[in-house]
Amino acid sequence: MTNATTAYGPLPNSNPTQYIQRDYTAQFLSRLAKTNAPVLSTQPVLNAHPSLPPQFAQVPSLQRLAELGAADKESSWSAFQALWSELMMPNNQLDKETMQRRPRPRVLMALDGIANLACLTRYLSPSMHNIHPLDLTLPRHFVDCLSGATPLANGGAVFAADSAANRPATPALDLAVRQSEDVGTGERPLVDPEDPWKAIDERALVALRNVPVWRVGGLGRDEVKRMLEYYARSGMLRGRVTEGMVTEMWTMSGRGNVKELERASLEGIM
Amino acid sequence: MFLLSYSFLRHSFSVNDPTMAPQPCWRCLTRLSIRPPISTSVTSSSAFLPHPQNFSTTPSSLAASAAQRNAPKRGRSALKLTKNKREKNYKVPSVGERRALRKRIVLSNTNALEVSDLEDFSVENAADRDCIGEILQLRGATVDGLRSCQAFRTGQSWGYFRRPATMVREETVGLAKALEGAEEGGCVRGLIVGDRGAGKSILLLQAQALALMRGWVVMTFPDGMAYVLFSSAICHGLTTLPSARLDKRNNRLRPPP
Repeated sequence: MTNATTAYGPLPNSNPTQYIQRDYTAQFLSRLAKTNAPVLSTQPVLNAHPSLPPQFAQVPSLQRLAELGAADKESSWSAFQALWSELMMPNNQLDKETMQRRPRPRVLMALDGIANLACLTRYLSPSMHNIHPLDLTLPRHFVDCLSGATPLANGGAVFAADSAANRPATPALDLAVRQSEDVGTGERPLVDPEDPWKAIDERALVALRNVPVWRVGGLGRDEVKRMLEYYARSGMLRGRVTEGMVTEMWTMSGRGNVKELERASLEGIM
Repeated sequence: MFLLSYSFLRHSFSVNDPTMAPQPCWRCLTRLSIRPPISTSVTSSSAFLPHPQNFSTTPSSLAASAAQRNAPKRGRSALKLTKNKREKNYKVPSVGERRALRKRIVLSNTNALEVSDLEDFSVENAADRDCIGEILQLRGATVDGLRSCQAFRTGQSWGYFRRPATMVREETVGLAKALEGAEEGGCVRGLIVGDRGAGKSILLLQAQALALMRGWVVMTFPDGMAYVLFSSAICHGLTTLPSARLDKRNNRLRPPP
C-alpha cells in the first residue's frame, strides 16, 4: 500500500489533502467480493448513495456493490465508502422488499505488515514531500479502525500483524508496542525515553499506542514434540522422535521458534 | 570481353589481306551476344559494333537490362561478417508469468504421507484449551476462502505437507475466545507482534479462518507494502490519472501537479 507502485491521486475537497489509491482500492474490493460472496450476496443495499455513478443505482446486494466498485476504478473509493456505511448500519433495519430484518454481519479486518504504515510512504505530494500513510484514504481507514477512532458498529475484530518480511525500520511502532505493553506509571511521552533525539513519527505513535498487543512467543517442549511427530507422520522428518531429539530441536529453534524448527527438522528446507 | 570485341575488329579491318585467316561474316557476328565493356559509355562501343548485344547464351529478353547491369553496386567497401547469433531455443515467458510462478501458493505435496486422523480446525476446537498443541486440518471451503483473501504467504511451509493443517496454540485459544466475545457486538483489536518466524502471520490466518467459519465479512490487506510489483507490464496497464503521471525513465509515479 505504501511503496508507491499503485496509482494515486488527491481526494477532492479534502483539507489536509488526502490521497486515493484507486487501483489498490479496486483490487481490495475484488478480493472482498470473492472471499465474502456467500455472506454479502444475502445482504441488501438499504440506502441510496447519490455520490455513486448511475450503474450503482439498482444494486441488489452488497456483493454486487463490491463487484461494481472493483470493476470501475474511478469510483472504487466511493463504492467502498458506500459499502462500509451499509455494513455499519444498525442491525434493526427492515428490508422493505422482503420485509425481513437481516442483521448485518460482523467484520474482521486483518492486515499483515503494519510496520509499513508507521513510517512515511514513497508516494510524493505535489510539494515533493513523502506522503504519510495516514494521508492515504484506505490505510487511514484501517488505522482508524485499529486504534478505535472508527468503531465497528455491529461488532467484529481488527488485527494487524507486524510481519518481519520487508520490514522497514520503524521506531514509532516499536515505541508504540512498548508503551502499550507497559502498564507502568502511565506516562507516555512522544519521544523514546532511551533516546529522546531519535526521530519518531508522532502521528503513527499516537494512533498505534492505544492498541492492545498480542505477543506471539515460541513453542513449548510439548508443542515441539507434537510438531515433530506430525512432520514424521507426514514423512518429512526421518528418524525417530525421541526426547533427546525434542530437546535438541527446541534448543536449535531458539526455544521453539516455528520457522527455525522447520529449518532444523524438515527435509528440503534450507 | 573488351578484348574479344577488339579481336573481331582487327579481323574486320584486314579483310583484303590474303595471309589472314578467313573472317567471320557480319551476320554471324550479330547473332553472337557480346557483352559491352564495363565502361559506361555505350556509345563508344557502338562506334565499332553496329549492334551491341549480350555475349551470352541467355536470350536477350531474359537478360538484365543495361541500366541494371551498369548500376553501381550498393554497399560495403569493407568485408563484413554476419553476427554469430545464437538461436533462441527457449520460449520467452509471457507477461506476468514469472511473477505468478514466484508468488504461487502450493498447499499440497503428493510426496508427503497422508495424516488422516486429524480433526478439523473449527470454532469449537480452536477455543478449547484441551486442544492446545493439537494439529488440526483446514478444510475445503475455509481453504478456498483463505486463498481468495490471500492469507497464505509464499514463505510458509504449506507445500511440504499433504493437506494444510495448523497447530492450536495458547494464542489461538485466546483469539478464538475473543472472537466469541465479539459475536455479541463488541470489538476486539490487536497488534500481533513477536520474533521473526514466531507465527504472527499464522495467527492472523487462524483469525481469518475463524471469522470465515463464523460468517463474518473478512477484509484483508495481505501486504502493508503494495503487493503490486512495479513492472513495465503493470505500468502500461495503469491508466494515468490526470493527477499522477508515470515517469517511465525512473519507473516511478510523478506527483500530481
